[in-house]
Amino acid sequence: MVKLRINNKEIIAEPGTSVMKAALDNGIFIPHFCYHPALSISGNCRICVVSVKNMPKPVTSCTTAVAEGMEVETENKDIAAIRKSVLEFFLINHPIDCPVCDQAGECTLQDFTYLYGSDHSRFSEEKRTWHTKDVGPLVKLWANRCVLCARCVRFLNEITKTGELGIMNRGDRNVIDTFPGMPVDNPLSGNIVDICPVGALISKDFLYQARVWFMDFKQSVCPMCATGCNITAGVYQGKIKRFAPTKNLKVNQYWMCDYGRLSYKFVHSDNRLTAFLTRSQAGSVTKTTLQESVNILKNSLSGDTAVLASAYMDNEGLTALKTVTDKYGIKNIGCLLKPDGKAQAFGGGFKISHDNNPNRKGFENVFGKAVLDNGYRQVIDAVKTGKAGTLYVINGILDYALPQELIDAAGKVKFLVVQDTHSSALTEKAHLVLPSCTYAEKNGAFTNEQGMEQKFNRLIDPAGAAEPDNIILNQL
Amino acid sequence: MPEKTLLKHTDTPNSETMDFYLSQKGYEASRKALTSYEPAKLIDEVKGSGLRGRGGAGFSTGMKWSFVPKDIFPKYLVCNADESEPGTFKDRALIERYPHSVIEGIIIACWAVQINSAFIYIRGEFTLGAKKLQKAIDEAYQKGFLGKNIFGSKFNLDITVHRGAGAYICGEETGLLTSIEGYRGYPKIKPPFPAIQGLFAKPTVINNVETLANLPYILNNGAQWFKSMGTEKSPGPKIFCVSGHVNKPGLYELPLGTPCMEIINNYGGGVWKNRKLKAVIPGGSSAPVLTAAQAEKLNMDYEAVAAAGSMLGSGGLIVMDETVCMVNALYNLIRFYHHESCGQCTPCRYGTGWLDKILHRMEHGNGKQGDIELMLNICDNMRGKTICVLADAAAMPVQSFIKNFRDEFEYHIKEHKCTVTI
Repeated sequence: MVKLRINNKEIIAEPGTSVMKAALDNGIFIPHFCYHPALSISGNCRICVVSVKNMPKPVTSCTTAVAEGMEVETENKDIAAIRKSVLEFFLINHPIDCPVCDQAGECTLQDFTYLYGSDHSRFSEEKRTWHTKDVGPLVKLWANRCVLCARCVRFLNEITKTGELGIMNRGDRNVIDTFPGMPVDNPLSGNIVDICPVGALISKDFLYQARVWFMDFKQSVCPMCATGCNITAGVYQGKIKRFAPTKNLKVNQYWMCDYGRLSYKFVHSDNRLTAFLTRSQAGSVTKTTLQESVNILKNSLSGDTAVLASAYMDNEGLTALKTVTDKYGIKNIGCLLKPDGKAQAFGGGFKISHDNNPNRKGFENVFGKAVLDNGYRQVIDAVKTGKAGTLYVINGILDYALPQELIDAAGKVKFLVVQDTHSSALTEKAHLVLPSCTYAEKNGAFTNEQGMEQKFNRLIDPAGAAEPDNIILNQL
Repeated sequence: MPEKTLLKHTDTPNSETMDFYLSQKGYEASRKALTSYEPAKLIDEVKGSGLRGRGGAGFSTGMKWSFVPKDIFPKYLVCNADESEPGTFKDRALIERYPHSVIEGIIIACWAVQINSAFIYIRGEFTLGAKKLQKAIDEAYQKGFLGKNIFGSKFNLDITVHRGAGAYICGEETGLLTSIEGYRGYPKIKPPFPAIQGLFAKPTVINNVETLANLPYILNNGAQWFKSMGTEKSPGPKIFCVSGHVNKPGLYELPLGTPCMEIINNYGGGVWKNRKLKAVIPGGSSAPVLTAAQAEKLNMDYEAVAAAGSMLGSGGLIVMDETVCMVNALYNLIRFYHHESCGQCTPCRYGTGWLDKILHRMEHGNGKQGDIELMLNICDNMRGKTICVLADAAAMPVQSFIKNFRDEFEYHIKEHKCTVTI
């Protein structure tokens, strides 16, 4: 290990670490555009200069390795002057269109200009300009705002290894662009919007949706696969407007996939269940209350009830369900799973799990492997053969149509109870429908495929009368 | 005129052929190197000759070789033939007219540093040169001077000609390496320096064409012969590329330290049209400009030119007569750097374009008060703040033109026209 001092603070770093990383890891901020901890060093933005004792001039901290006894200063007059000049260079061709820029409020160019920049420009020539351009299904490019840090290019070369973006032309005609016929269309494309330090790469999904300073930011966990990416949700006026990854080196590093990124739309979809409903044998539907539903349910549960619970239920819901099944002596329990997808691995170790369920591990922890693997088949058989009097399905799987086999079989039971977030062919048949909260409307935890229990927070109010699974189950 | 060495045969018909080269004791030096010199002794011999890199920096060639780690393989040698500095055209002559001297130089250098694979990175526009070079390499393979067990020894050497795509920045040694590696020709962050981690992250020697072409003569004639020419610190012959307003522009091979005015008047035939000398750029377009008065006292060796506030650089001597508008001349140069900046680093990417726009305005009669100070400040903000020295190369002409000819810039701003009218 190497001992050095940054701003008179003693720091111990591994040999070979850059001064930038050593500083950031120890809570000392050095302005930067092109540096990103997960990407290779580019050294092109030239704003991260620091003074090092016994070096003739300020050096870029991202390209300078720590050394024993090094004394670094991250702020002084010389450095401020260099940073000011770099920012002036950036702004000569920048449109300074912050009022209509989506990045405004979370733009490093804004922030650094605020800290080090000048309040006027000495540039009186014509700016070089570009048209905006769609570079992929999710991403639009405002090349005029680009600082050419090449983070996006490096991300696509090093993490997704798809290399759709490159820098075209030379000098101040440099522009980020796609190669002909190669739009940025890969499972992680949205991340280039997050790592873009300015408003050059913008998510078309979030474009003009909300001013970031009016949004509330809350931490959550993406439920769309067993990886369990940590996410920051931006909420505006009770609606989720976007998801972005939260750094967690043990789970998702700095990234999330586009499917997960857009999954907030399922929470806000039109077919959410918002009321407790009963359906008479004749088929007429009546609105009811939580208390009324609980009473009906209490009377219907018995030893010959079959229960299907999904791996989209959080650990709180599953534990509450376990108490209920124990209490009523229910033996026929099965797991409702979203079918597996294709596992995908990317540079730097980021993975999209083959398991499309956020809490399969949690289900296994509560009900055991036998129930997880064989329970569903047993329940279906019991229902088909008429052994089960009541079928209680607790679903909540997002973006998934339940299997026809289940829907057909469910028609055969005397009493069908469905607790779900969205209406479906099954809720159309149910005698009792209980609206439940999605992960976005409750506090809870999922256990991801690594066995890590990850807590998520309530982001928005529940849809209508929807209640969290455990609140309903605890009353049974 | 002193006896020529490097350019002795470049005007002879068929000088580029193997037969001709063999008739001039060709490949004897490399054979001698492989058979009777230990690599370490060869490096000492070249160090002892005082040969300095002819590409621009003037660093001791032997020293450069000795920095290369001995125990890492493979190692590479790259011959920098991406000659694109405005005012420089010496390597082209060597490649087109006497390519075997370059190839032999590469063999000697590779033996000294124990390299088995060499690249010649040739400027894309040198179509003829690339063809002739390839032909010469093919001939050398046929004769057994290249390939496996060259000259019957156990030493193998392959030379690959890699053609550039027409970017000035690929003449910068690390930009050149990224270009060979197949990437966009961006200069690399230093350290690590190429001698330690260069091409494909392996130790790499990068030498200029003219530097390599000197090696056969040093081996044939000895280090003492080489040191008998030039000055103590800058020994040997140098090809000066005289261009601009002289009667006889061209290549002149002269000992280092030859007075600038001697080159212009005795060899270049003097300033043309009986006009007076106004300025010279002594070492290619990146070198700071010098006034006629400075040129009068200038000797063309590395130390003397540096002492005068410029650089010997590549030896591209650009001569300007009294009719030259210095604002226009600078505008011309800066347009080049604006065009050629790779755009990797912020200060150079935007600085070159900004300078270009200001000079364009000034040259077209729209200069403003404060433009000069602004340009000097932009240069300060560019110099030494980038990965490679292209920003410095663009800033140095601006600073020197303004320093030496400030009145012309002020006149342009004030009167919206030139001091000189042709």
